[in-house]
Amino acid sequence: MSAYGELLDRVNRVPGVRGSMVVALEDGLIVEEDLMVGVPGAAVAALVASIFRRARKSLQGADFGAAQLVQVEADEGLLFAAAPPQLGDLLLVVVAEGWVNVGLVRLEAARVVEALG
Amino acid sequence: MSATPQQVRQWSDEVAADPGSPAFRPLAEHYRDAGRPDAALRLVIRGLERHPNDVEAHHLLGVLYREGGELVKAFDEWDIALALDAEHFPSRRAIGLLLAERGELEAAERHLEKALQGDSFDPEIRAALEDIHVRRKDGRGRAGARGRPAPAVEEPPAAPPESLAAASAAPPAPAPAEVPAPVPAAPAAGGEFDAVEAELAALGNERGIIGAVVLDPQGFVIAGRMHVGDRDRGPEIAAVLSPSSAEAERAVRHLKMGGWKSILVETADAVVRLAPTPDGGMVAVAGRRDVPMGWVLRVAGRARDAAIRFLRASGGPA
Repeated sequence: MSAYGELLDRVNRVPGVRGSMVVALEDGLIVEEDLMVGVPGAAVAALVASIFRRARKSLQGADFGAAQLVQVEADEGLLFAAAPPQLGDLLLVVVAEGWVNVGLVRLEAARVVEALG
Repeated sequence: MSATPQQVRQWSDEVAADPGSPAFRPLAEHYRDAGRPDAALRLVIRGLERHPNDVEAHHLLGVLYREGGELVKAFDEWDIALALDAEHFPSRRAIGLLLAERGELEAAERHLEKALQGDSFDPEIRAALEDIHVRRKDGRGRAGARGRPAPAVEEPPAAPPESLAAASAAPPAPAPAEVPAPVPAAPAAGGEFDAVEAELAALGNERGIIGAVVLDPQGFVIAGRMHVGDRDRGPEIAAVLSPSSAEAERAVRHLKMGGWKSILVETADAVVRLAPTPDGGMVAVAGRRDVPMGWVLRVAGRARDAAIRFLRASGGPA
């Protein structure tokens, strides 16, 4: 299993996570994915990367610094995208149920990403 | 040129032997040309399961949805095609024409100007751009839509303008800037406006809060401020971040997660939370990272309550 595969596998063990992907920030293409059946990875990857790029542009323009994390909360789920320096120009994207423990997802992602570095 | 029976047979054999065969696309196009859109749709959807990054297949799926009257789905497919390849002119053209039909003039113009780079003599694009110019002069159309897709599928598209039927060689209108300079929307009523301004100013003075702004559906600031240093950054943040709501909406729709409730963006120094208001606008609250996240979220909730009270009092949806 690749290093990214291990990263996704660990994040996916958090209860409520439906899958995760490593996505190229610039073009929204999937580099590695581990998603439940039925999760439309390509479309979500493209849209989340676009949201992230927009957030980065907006907040940097306003002198708030570079966006590191974007979280989209929906009625019945959660999307989470992080751009840790260890991943370079890649995003870690997590798709989860609405009841997921967000803190746990973030903690696990941070742990694994730190191990990558 | 239509496919020969031999070609069709060959494509059918290839797809039957291997559903992942790239022959799914020409076969689907043949079915579409032959007046069998359902068969074409099934083939493309199945093909995209194997080839999710096939730009032409996303475009074709958009065309099939468009012809079937499913405009939001069509928009999404072309949008994905453009996310995969920003230079895909057929999808750019299709989105531009769709937005023009819906009266979203600024966004349509931006897409069509780019599409014109692919074929500067495309009569339909030139006619649509000329029509946008005329409609803008007449004050028709939703000029501030800025690329946001209109998801209301139940709303029938506007009838194509007459000038769409006749090609024109008139020069296209100049493209607007990528992010138009925000102008404040007119407040609905003095009393309500003063009240919401005061509430947002008070929230902006809370511990660790940088500012709070209420945005209209076009992303213009209605009330509030977001000071960084000695400058109000609210309009800049609003103008760039506002279209994120449409992208968030599409992302969660793809995932069948219902509607979006909030977008949270974190940097090393700040956290910004966007939440929708009932009129299609948003409330944005920014806080510093040196205060607990939960505190910023609580203040953001109060800012949204204030915005909803303002909308209700000023006669908007609430």
